[in-house]
Amino acid sequence: MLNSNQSSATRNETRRGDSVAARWVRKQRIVRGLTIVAMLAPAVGTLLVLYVGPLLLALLQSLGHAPLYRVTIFPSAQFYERVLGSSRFWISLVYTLYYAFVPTIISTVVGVGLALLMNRRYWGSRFFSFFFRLPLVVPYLVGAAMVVALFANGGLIARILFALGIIEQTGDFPRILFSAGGYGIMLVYLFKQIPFTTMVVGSVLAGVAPEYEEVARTLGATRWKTFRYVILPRIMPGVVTSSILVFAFNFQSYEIPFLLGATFPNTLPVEALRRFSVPDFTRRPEAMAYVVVIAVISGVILFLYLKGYRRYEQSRGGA
Amino acid sequence: MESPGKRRRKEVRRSHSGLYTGRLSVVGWMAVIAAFLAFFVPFIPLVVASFSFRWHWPAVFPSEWLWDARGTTPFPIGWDYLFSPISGMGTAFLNTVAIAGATSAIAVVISLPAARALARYRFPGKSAVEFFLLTPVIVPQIAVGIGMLLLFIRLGLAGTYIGIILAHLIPSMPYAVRILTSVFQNLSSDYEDQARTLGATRMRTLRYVVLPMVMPGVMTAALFAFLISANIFLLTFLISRGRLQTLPTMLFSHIEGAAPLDPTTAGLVLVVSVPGVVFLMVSDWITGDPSLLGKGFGGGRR
Repeated sequence: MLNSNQSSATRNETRRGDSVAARWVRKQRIVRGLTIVAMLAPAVGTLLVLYVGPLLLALLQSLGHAPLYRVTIFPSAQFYERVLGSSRFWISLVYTLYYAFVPTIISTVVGVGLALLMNRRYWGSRFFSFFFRLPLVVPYLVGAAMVVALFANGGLIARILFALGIIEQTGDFPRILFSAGGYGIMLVYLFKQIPFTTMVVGSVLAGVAPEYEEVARTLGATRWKTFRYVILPRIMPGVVTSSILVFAFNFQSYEIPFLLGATFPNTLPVEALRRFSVPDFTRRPEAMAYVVVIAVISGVILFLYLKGYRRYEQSRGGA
Repeated sequence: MESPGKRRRKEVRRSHSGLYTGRLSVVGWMAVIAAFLAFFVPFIPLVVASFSFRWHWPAVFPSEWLWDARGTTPFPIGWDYLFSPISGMGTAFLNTVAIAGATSAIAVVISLPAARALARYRFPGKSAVEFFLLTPVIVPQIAVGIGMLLLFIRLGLAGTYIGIILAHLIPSMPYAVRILTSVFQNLSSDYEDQARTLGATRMRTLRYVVLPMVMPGVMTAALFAFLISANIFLLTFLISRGRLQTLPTMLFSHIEGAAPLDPTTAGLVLVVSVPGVVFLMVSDWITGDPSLLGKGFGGGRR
């Protein structure tokens, strides 16, 4: 008994002995850890409360916990069944995907092309680049107002066609706005997103040394091959970033499809907010189910895209 | 006088035109001009419309100008309405600037320590934290917005300035964190260490060494957060419950009800674009780096 006590005391003694330094190190490590936590806490905490919290709240309501609206059937998939079981949802999904993907593809292709051009110094390049960045810094609604001014059936382009004798009345002008074709919506997206892609890809391109291209050309690569095998892989991170941001935005945008799309079919966010503003409060959780589904689909698409990109990177690294 | 080396470099540049270097070809010029037409020229009819008095179908140019109505009003009709208190544009403008200013200040203050931690330390879960701080940019705002509305109704924040500012923090913070992280990464810790070695306290080092060096970056982050907030529509629309207007929500209701080339809507479009134009001018002036926008929005090296 006494013996064991004694030995533990000596053990303590030795630990204390060998470890003024070790303890100091341990203490420093704890201090460092606490410092990092304290530094991250404001940002992470704000997001947890104001961003993760609301998402969880929407999820909870969509599963039937909404005492405010006298809905207390948690957990229940009833609202999801109602949403996913309606053909309206699936039609809206198809249109949402269509309005989101087409501008993403066009703005990525055109944006990369323009980035190659805009990166040069030419006469007036500063002037051009200032005005070219204008669409980037104005709200999407400005683009919507512009598309209405130009492409509405009574808009400027229709008037010019009328003056030229090509059309005889407003009805002869093709319906670009307020139709399921969504051309007006996509024009607004392109107006903002082509300059966006150009800027993002351009700033990556600015960091690519011109020597790579010179070497490739000297070794006899054609312009296309140089682009495909030398430039493109190097600007790929910018292309992926910009296309992710563009798609993620288009998929969830509300105001543009609401203003410029058809009454039906329109996009999922428009349908979701329509559900949210029905007078019957007991149906509001349906809107929550809608937004949860929107978030999940968008997340899955972006995840698959990033996974595909990783695979591409790996195959390049392995080759 | 040019040095021979400089002249030679110039010649090399002139003789060689690469995929993204050298001079523009004829086709390149045509593309640049087409881009200018597509992305800048659409602003012009709106400027004209905002000064017009009458511009109905099928007139290609306004049929009545200020000159024709000079007896009745000293101002173009659209601007006259917008600047009168009835339109509410003044209030919406002040609301937008106040909300964006507060959002930007809070976002930067909250993001500064986080950005510094991300730039300086390695720790387990770092990439997860980094990813988490950037996700608000890709998670649908409508989902966050509706959830937030439920929360804010319960907390009594719906329809208040505080509620809107808190909502605006979510999309603005990722940009502030991103920009500030790269600022701290570019800032070598040597200077701080030297100041500390020479006996400066932590506070003094921060005040006299770190802050002056990161100030341009902080200004950039603040500008970005300001711009993002000033341009937000959906979150304001949801959280404000129609109780207070910002420029984007005001523009929304005008587009919803107006005929194409209506002078008031056209004028409002120009006013809504003011924060963006100021941003472009000020950001070029602060950093002298026109590629800033691309970097801030996600391109460039981290």
